[in-house]
Amino acid sequence: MPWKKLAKSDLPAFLAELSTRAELIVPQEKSGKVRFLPFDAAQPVNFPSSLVDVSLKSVFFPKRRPVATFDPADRTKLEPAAPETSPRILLGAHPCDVAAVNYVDRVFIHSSFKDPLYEAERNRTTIIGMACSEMKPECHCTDRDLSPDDERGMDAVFYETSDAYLFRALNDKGAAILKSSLLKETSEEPQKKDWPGGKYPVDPSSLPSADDSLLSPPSSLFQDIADLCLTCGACTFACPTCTCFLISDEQHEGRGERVTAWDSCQFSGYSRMTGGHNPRKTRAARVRNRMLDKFVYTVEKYGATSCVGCGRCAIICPVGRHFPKEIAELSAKAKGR
Amino acid sequence: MREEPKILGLLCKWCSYAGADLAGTSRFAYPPNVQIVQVPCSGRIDPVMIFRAFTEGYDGVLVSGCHPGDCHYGTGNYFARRKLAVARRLLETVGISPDRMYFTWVSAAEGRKFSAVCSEFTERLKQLGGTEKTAAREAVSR
Amino acid sequence: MKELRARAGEALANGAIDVLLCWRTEPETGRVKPHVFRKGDDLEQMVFDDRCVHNLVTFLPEVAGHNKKTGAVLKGCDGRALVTLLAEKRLKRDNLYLVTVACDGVKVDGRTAAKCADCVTNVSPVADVVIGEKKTMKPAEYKQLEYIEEMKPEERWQFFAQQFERCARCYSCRQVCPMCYCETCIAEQVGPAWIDPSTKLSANTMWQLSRAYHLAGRCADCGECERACPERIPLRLLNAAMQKAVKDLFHVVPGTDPDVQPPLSVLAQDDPDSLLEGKR
Repeated sequence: MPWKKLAKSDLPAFLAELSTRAELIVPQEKSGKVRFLPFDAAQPVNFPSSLVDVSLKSVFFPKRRPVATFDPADRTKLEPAAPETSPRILLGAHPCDVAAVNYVDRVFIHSSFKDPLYEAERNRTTIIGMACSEMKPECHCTDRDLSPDDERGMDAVFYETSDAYLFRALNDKGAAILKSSLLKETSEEPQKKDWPGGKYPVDPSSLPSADDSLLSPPSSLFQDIADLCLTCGACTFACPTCTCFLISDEQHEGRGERVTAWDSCQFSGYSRMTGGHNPRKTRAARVRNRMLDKFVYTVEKYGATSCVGCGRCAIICPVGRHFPKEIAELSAKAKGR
Repeated sequence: MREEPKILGLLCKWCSYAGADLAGTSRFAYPPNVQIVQVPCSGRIDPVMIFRAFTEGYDGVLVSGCHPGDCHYGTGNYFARRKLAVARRLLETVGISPDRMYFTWVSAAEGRKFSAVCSEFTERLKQLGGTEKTAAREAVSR
Repeated sequence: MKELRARAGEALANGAIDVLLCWRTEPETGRVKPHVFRKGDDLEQMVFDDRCVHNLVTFLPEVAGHNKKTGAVLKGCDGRALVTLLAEKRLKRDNLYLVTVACDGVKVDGRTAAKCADCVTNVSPVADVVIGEKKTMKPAEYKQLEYIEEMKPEERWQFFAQQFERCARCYSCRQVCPMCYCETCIAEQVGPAWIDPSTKLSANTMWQLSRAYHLAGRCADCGECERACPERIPLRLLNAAMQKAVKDLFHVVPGTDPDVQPPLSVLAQDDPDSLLEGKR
């Protein structure tokens, strides 16, 4: 499909046009961080050259999501929430976040239970991705089989040049969105770059499965890390592929709602069961779970590793843990055995 | 908008709840706005319960325990006295008027006092108006 | 720094302590982060400067739990947290070797942390070794509350509602806080669920108020909760409201006096009934 050019000065008009066709979601700054929000013409749009501070996980899987309603007086009847169908355009998602969404599809669409609300969100959204023009210090997507200008999973993509944006549709869905008089066909093409790798390489096949005695608690390997980890869960909330959730029934003044809410394997009560038994009571056990989940357990469950190399876990950790570095070191240690 | 204030009453089992019972058997009239929850002792009350009342849309919270020195468990109400004083300040900081909290001691013999407290508090809340503009109702409706 | 490294090295070498919690400059990146030093470690990497913003007391119970004798390097605010933990018997004084270094303030995002303007003690009130000079600091004034106190009640609620709405319930504030150590946090209790786990505003309000209330008379104002919050909610404001109430009503500034118990755990028969009105 051909390249189309949008002059930077035409961007506001293009955004206005898109927002008349569908619900438009763009990166904007709010409370000190750039995040994906519904387009508001009064707020400046912010297309970062690399990572968007807050992942687009909540665009497809909100922090609090009603799945059914009920009448508290008669709890035998649940009225499922109706899936959304109105069209939506997500503009400016970077390759790591798009890859993350593709992984999350494995959990909520292609596994044993298909989540109708999530699937509807995916179906109604056209993703116009944005290629990165640089890698930030914690970015390591190239170590995760991705690259900063990877176009997989996008319906259309755009690159930023000094005075314009170069758009290209990648399928019919994307082509339909890019029909605009403001986008002019051009022979100009973006420059593809060579991206460095090798920052935090992990060889998942080297990481032993959960049975391995090296990793069984109380291995000092994980205890040392756990001593300086608060298992606060900030990394799991920042991570675009962490999707653990809990279900809560909430009621107020005669109205009941069943909702999903984000949970975290790092919370001490996460695996606590009726009767009080908790297989991951210690911090070391929870630290081990998180480290192995991304590279071993998700392969077993969903057929793919789930780290996309965005580095948000390293950025957000309040006590300076560096998850990508630690997992790379673990992988190297395991390989060396 | 709701006309009648909705009040949560946290009454200790040994003194205050008995006092409320006495108000009933003595046929003292008082408004029906207080919804009573019995706790074993005023010291059991974690102010989290009071916060919950407000975020669930109650317009006021009444807490009553045994008089100091008469606590059935000896010392529970001394702790309650401190905890409630501090909790009141926190609610005030986030914009919930301290007038929406009524903390008192009602003994098992004080049926008349209990009905007077309920009447006074209900009237006070009617004057204050509903909590639509403040934490309670708005928080819940979002 | 020299004195700190010398003392640390000596204590580790002669077995007085098994481990020492301090900060380390990571050689590859220059990042400063908490570290558990052991005998034989390169102490040139040990550092104490304005990048040492973390409260090491949060790590202390876990580390002290599986070592016989644990050392820790403390700033003033860290020490206040330790004082309260000792009063609550969460830690045993005998197992600890405490070194406090006079602190001039720490930096967050390149600027002096807001909490340092309200510092009440530049060294830990409890220590085996004091490095540097203890200064007389001004008393706790909770000036940051003036902004809130000037608002009318509806304005106060609008302000806090905007803050609470952003809460993601990640509980980073709880986990970084040295005073939060309940095995089952009230926010994770079901049957009854006092605090609904989802992020609707009423549930977030419940969490924020409960957290602040449970810190009344205990918070050391180390500011870590606010720094850790991914949404930058001004948590110190709520903590300050609680500590100001505690100061007004019980004349206690948490963690500054090792002989004073946290006021809400104290039995006081002679409190006046005016407390019921919120006054002394």
